[in-house]
Amino acid sequence: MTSTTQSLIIILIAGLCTLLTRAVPFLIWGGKRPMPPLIKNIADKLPAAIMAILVIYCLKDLSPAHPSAFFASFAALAVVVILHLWKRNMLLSIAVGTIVYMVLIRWM
Amino acid sequence: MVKKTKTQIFRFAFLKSIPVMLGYIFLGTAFGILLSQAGYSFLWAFLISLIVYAGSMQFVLVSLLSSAASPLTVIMMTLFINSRHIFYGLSFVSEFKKMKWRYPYMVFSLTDETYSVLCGCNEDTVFNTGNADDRRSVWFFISLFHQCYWIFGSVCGALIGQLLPFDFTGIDFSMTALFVVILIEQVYDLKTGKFKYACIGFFTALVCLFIFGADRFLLPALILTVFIIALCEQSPKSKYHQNRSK
Repeated sequence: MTSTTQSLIIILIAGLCTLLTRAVPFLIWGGKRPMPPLIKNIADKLPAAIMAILVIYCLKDLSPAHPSAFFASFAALAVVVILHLWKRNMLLSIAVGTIVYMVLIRWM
Repeated sequence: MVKKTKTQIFRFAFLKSIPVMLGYIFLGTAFGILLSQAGYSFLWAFLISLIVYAGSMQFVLVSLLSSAASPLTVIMMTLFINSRHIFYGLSFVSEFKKMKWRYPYMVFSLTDETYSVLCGCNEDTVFNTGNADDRRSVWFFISLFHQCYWIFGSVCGALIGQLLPFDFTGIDFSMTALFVVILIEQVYDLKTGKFKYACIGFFTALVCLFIFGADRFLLPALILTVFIIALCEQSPKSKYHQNRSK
């Protein structure tokens, strides 16, 4: 097994590097230097785009080769989308969608 | 503009943090179990979730720990896996700066899920007062609650994970649902024009997924999306629209 000191060093390095990736935009534009208008403009548009990318990221491992997870995911997604467009209640959409998914992967 | 009391802010932030609660406790538990199987006690789980606090990275960290990886390997792996985080801060640079002593913590705790929830929690929706100070306090508590759930889950997982009687398989779908719901909220008002940018992200991600495969598509997708949005913003047509709307 890895020694305690070694483990601590590994954890510290991982923590610092994680913080570094999160801090990059703040290190560049967090001080007095103003954000160029183009970057500012892009940053305002990014959340919607990133959210769409994260949805794909969550579904990236789905394949028709594993039909139960595949169909359960899309059925549950449909439930989330329809329910949310209808009620617009965040907790309700997430809870019902997750329960539908958990039930479906056990049944299919 | 009415300023809200501490209790109201606290309660509102808690409500906003609930969607992530289930997912984080579950994923944290999974991490705790994995770590305890590698021979590390719950104290290590606590320490890692306290100072590293990065979902997928922590799972990789378990194997780095048990193989006594070299510092260089740890640096490369962490930077590579977490490189997507570079893009998250962009939208919050000017806002976090105004948060004084909470600023460093906001940067440190900007995970995928926290980023999403903060994006879905803008000025108009916070109590409908539009008070920016209140919104920033809400943001801080959301970030803090999220990390508490994560730490709680990982410590529980390391302590009692293998004794849990119920099979929680599939509860991680709550994270997918969270992103979907926030995406809908982002594009719901078609007048804001955000639908276009969601489509750019969506199709770029699909194309990159097809080209680079599931394990490697995220970073190229983010870079390409930023690039395409930059092109859209610089094109003469969009300038024309901007001028006209002024």
